[in-house]
Amino acid sequence: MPDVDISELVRRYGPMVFRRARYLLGNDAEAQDAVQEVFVRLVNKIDSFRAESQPSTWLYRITTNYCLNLIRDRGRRRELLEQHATSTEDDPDPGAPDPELMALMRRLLAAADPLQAQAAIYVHVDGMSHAEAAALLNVSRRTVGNLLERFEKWARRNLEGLVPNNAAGGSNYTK
Amino acid sequence: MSNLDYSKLSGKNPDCPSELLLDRFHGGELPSAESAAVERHSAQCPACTARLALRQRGAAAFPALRLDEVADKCVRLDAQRRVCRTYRSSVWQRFAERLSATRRVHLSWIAAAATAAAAIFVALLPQLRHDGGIDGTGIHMKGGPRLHVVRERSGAVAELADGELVRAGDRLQFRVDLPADAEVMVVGVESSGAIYPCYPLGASGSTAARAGAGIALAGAVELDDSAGDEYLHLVVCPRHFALHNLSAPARGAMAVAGGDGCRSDSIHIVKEVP
Repeated sequence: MPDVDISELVRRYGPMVFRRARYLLGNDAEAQDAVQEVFVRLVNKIDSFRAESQPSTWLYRITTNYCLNLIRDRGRRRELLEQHATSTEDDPDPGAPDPELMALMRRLLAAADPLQAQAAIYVHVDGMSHAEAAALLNVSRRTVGNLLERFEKWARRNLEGLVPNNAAGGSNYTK
Repeated sequence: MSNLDYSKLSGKNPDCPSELLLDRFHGGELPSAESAAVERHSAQCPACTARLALRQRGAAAFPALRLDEVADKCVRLDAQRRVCRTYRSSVWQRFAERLSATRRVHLSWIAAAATAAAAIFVALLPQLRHDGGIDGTGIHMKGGPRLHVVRERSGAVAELADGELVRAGDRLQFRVDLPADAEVMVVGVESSGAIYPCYPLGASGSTAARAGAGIALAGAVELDDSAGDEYLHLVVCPRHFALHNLSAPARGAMAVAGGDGCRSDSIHIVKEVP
């Protein structure tokens, strides 16, 4: 990429970043902020971005890290994350995760180990193979497996107190 | 004990391409074999056809998305960086022109002059630092401005020491000690020499700050995954200065063009390979 037209990059990749931030954060306003932050970082790191042969992958990684940090901040502020869940009726994204399960997942991500949280997002939320997640995390496939195993074990221990009352009897949880 | 059914979380069938794979397909970033496989699958999968259709609609699919605002801000920021880059390259160009003009001078004279200059530089370093003309050796001037960098990682907060390892995702917040009211700016200098604003975030110049100790600067910077050495500089001047007035003439050093009375303090961080 010899030189880049920033407006063109925003126009081309902005919707992808917004869509991703929207389903990770469950909130349009915060997703808009995420788009702004991610592209400001792109401008600040324009040299490394120019050398990137897979712009989508680069933006995915940056967006994921930004959103995870925000989710952790919210966790520290003890916000009620369920309130941020995007309504399914107005969600145009057929690939978006189940809103109720995603709200619960956010509460787990807020307290999980950051690397385990990234692996869990890539595989469980994005539907990536272990090989895809390994490439994005720059670790081996075996490490991705180990990270997921540790995340799931930790999540099992912590889910008991997180399951919302209205979801406790739902078919998506097993007791 | 409860279990979250992860298979229902993503809302996709296991044989459907991941979000990223579909985005790379849509962006034309996939090798032809992989691209053909995604195309074949999507042709016979209604869910993936819909996912692709959403991508083809672009920003129109999301009424809440305001791309123009983002583009405007980023174009302004990019313009500042270009000005900064032009300033740095012009400094090097002038240096190269002067070097070219002195080619006829014997090389040994240049070497002798360089050695002498280095000796003078070392001898005058404390004075230069006191003037705020240069900084970055990890020494802090008594009574001068002081930059404290606080790292937040996984909820744990700690002040960074000079030369400390950091990693992608770490969030840095800044506290400063200012002996007098001043115009301040915190900037980062990448290993490539590129300068980016950390405080005020995304700003094109300094902002006024009152004297005091341990003043918390608003906002935080999150580190990306580029590895290598970086320097964070607190630049303090009696008058307003612009980002493009700053340059990093040497590793760990910070200079302010026309910045009489400017002072600075810095910290060196090493970003681990992710």
